[in-house]
Amino acid sequence: MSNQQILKILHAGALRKPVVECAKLLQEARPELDIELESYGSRACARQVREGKVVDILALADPMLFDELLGPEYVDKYYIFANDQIVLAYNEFSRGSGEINAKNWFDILLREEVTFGRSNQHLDPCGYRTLMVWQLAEQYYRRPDLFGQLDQRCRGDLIYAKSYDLASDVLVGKLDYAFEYLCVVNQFGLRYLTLPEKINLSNPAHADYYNQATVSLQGKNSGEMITILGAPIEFAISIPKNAQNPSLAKDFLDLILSKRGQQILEDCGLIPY
Amino acid sequence: MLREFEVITVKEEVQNPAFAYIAGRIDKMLVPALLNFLANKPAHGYELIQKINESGFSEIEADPATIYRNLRRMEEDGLVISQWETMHTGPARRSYRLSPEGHQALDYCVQLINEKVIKMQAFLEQYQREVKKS
Repeated sequence: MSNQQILKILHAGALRKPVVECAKLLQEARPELDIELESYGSRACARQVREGKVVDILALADPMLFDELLGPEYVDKYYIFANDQIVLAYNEFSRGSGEINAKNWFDILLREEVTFGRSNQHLDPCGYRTLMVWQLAEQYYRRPDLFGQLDQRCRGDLIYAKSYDLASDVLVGKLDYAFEYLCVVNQFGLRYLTLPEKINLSNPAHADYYNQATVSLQGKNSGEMITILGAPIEFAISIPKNAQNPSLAKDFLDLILSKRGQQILEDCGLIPY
Repeated sequence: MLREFEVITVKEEVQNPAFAYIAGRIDKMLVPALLNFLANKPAHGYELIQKINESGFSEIEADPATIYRNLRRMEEDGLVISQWETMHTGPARRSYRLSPEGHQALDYCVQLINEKVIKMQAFLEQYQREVKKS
């Protein structure tokens, strides 16, 4: 037992399914291997590594985090491997879901009886991306103070630590709606509304437009605040410099970046590179 | 003699399934535009999406899903070759370059487009001559 090899993977909650699928494949080929998976919001993942957590693979929902929080001390190279978009997730019993569309979604969310959630921008990129979507929506739909109105209605318990938990609560009906990655919605089999491309952060063709949205976040050091700009949603993966099993990690990395990995990512609703 | 040679070459190329796929979708102009950009220099998908949209060459919306699906298909067909653009440090992206067969495919696209331009020109001339005149 002492020779048993352990591959430790820390990943964004949104990547749970593709990471699990790739881990299963690797374990089939290497039955002696023990794989430990842990997931949080990506900013929380990056902070844990900064605070001393040792993992072999780190897969995050925003490549910027590698530069902002981890490079060059903890990570020197990372692979940008997939793209996604923000959608509005709901279930068949969500209030107003029978009439919701890309032109009226904000009016339905602002109804007194409707609940909607987002993830915490300081812990999870889906959280700051949701705030960016709201800012861009205010401009796109020409609705003054739309951001402020949505922000006012989505407070306290409606702000979750990671986007994966939001989807789970929409599934069981605790929330009517949630701002989510399409890949998470697909993993849960939820219904969803596709938002216009100019606000859903999906398309590099609109990168300059997305850039107009800004969010302030807690920075690398305590008390420090940074401002980040809107950008197309991308996912990235790396082998941290202090990985204990870099060779095993390389096998996992090669798998997720391979043709087989691309198929798994696509099946999970991501757009693989 | 040169013309005969060209005809034979094209007939052989059309038998390639990738070329038949291109011929069936030439009106959309997406694959010719991708081949054309990659003939200039290797690029990654992110950059290609921006270039395709800026150029206006493609008749279909160049969203990421469409572009990456086409690039994967072009790679399976041997028209492009991808590899991870890894520098010593920093971000790595999958970069695509044209294969020799991709260059042939681009030549084939140009020939198909030329044929279409000639037919459309003939249409416009006939319209000017027979409809607009009256």
